Amino acid sequence: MEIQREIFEEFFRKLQEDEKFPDSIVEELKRFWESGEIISQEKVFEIIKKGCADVNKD
Amino acid sequence: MSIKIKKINIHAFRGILDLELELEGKSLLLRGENGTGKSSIVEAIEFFFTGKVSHLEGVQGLSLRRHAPHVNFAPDDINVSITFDPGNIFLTRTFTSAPSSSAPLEDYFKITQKGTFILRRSQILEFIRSQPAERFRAIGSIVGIQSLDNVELEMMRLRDELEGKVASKEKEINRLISDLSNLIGKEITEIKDVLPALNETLQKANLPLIMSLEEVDKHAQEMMRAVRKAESIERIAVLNEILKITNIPLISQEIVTELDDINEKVKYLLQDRARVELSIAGLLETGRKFIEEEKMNVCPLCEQEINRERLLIRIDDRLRILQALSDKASEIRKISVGVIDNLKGISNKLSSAISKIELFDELSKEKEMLLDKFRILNVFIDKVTSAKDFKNEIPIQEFIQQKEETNNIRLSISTKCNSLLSTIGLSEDEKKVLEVIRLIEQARSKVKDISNVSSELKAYKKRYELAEKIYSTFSETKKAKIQEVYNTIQEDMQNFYSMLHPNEPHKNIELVVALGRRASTEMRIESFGRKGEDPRALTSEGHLDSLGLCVFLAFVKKFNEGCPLIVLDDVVTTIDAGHRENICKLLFEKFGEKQLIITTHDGIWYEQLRASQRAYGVEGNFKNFVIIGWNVDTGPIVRPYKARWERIQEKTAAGDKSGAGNEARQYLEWILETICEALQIPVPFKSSGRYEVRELLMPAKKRVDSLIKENTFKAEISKTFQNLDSTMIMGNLLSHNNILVENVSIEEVKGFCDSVRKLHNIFLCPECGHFVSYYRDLKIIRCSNPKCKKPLEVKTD
Repeated sequence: MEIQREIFEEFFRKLQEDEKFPDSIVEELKRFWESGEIISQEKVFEIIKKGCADVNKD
Repeated sequence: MSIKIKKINIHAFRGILDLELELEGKSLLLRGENGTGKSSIVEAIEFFFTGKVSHLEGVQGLSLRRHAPHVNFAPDDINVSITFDPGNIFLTRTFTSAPSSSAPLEDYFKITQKGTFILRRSQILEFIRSQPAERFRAIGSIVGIQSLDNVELEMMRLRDELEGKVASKEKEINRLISDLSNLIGKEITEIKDVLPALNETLQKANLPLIMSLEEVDKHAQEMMRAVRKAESIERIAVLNEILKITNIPLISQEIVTELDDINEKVKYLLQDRARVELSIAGLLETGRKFIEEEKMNVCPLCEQEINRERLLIRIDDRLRILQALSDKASEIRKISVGVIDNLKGISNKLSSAISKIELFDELSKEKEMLLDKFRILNVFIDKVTSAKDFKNEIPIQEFIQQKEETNNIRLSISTKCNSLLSTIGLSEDEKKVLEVIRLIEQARSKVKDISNVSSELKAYKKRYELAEKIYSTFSETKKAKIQEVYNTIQEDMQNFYSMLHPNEPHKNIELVVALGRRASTEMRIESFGRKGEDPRALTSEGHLDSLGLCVFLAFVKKFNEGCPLIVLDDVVTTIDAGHRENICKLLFEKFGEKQLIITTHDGIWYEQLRASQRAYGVEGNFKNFVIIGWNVDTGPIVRPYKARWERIQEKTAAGDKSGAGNEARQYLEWILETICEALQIPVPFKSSGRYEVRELLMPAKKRVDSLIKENTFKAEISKTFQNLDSTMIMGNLLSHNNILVENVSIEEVKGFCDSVRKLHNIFLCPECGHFVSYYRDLKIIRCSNPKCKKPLEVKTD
């Protein structure tokens, strides 16, 4: 579990460092992972779709 | 003080009816012949901690519910309990309830629940001999990262899906632009070319020009008013809209070609041959290696003559096909996205046409027919979607027939619409105006479609970029972190392996995350000066098995820190006696603090482990048990181990001449085998590996005579051999229930047994009781216990 956590934390850090990548998507992915739910293709798509909509609104 | 297992109780599980193993926190060494329930005990421990039995999982026809209970019991009868110390904590697993671990056992259970404290030979195969992906999975379960593999797979699928969407939208835009060019009769490359081209047409028809495409609707209505009276305008507009939909084929040949292409790929993957090839990849690779390296011209399986070169080429072809299979699956997923979108677009067109033609009684027959085609098309879309997941083929012929029929209905509708327009009574000029109106409306509609699809494309491109970024970042992070983990255990792996194979030219053992593959681990070794080789290329079966053991122990050392339990289930079958000694050393020196459970069917390995317990002074830490029998009603009959000499003494005391004689003869066989191994005495090869006394005695005598220089030791051995010669007849008479046994006295039997015992003692170090070994380089026979303070040492030639 320790390594899983390390991998995810590093993954989120790298995405956050990418200025072009929307923070809202990273936050949502992080929140979803921390909730312990299964990360599925559909869920990630939903997060991306919502993130893109938010960016467009901004 | 670490938590240890005090007692194990098993009821109605696998081959066990009722069994209690009192370990008292000690390690367990258990010997039993094949089929006596050793593995049932290991499986019961696995079941207790994990609720699973790994070899019953994922195999068709096997299930925990049906095959975990003893044959005379039901799942609810199963009960496996373990008592832990300190604290005398008693926990139970049944088929429906799991043990609830309390605070002191939290770490212990966290690790054991993963099941990664057990090593079986099948796992060694996974570590060493399997494909990189299987190796990754095997290691992933120890490291605790197996679920990440699924996360990565989901991310990759999303990326593929979105990539397919982008390609599909780009294709749709190209198709719409091509339709637009055909409609206007002029090459259109950009949207801005459309307005001038339409105005050119309007000008030719002497109609007012339009300033923008947004004005088209208003413009068309005004022109329509000029054509007819108000009551006809709506009817003409709807007929125009229907004609707009039906003036080109509803289902194009292009989509049939695309479906056919996908179907060919799907069909290939659905073939039994493709499935079989996937499952026999490992066999093909092993077979290829064998045939190539052994230069064999005869099939090792059927013993028929083979054309080696041709066979190797065919195997290579099949391996290439196999590699291409996963690429094909990914390609199918991507291209299907666009085709399914197109089919849905056709379905929408049909739906739109139906809603419009129902306003005309004259088209009621066509409406019913089109409705039927609409339903059939939607069923077909479901079939294409399931074909994308390789559940079925695409019924292409059926679709082609539907395409023809749908397009015929389309023609019929188009003809009737034109006829209806004629009945409204339009003049030739009005007809021309109508045609122009229809043209600009259709052009406007296409432009609108292009604009919509372009927006969708933009959105999908953005989503694809984000999905790709998520996938590649996750994948790279995962690979880098796993490689870091591998790097941290590399040193232990190498050290352990060097302990097992000292002075051998194998070094720099590496586990490497394979780049460019999603979940894959390669194993490399530097061997005989060749760097980065696959260990399978350069080492023996025994070396590979010991390497697997080292990989397991290195991971256990790093990741199972909070749990002292290690189970080794019959794992050294291919490793020779000398290297097994080194395994004892590795286990007792590096894992002495752990609670080991070691099972074996191999008497020699069992004796080596017992001797090593003495040599390392850990006898008190072990419970040595033997399974003396098994049947379905009793399960394994487990007894504390007794040395063979103790058993012989019991039998002679009881007057059991035949029993004592047989034990002594087997004892002698074992001693002679051990002497031959220890002194490196060449004996003729026997494929069974079973030798009789006469086959070993002479070579042993000759070797001792030629090898040993020191006279006292040599004389003592010679005298022992002479004693043995004089009593050997007893051994022969007493074997196999010989009827002459009655003619032999118990004193004579004791004499034979004593000679055997004497022979054993002479090769044991008087200081520590360890067997001697021959060290060729040093030209000595010496106690093999490296920790012996006063080792026996005899010079040799």
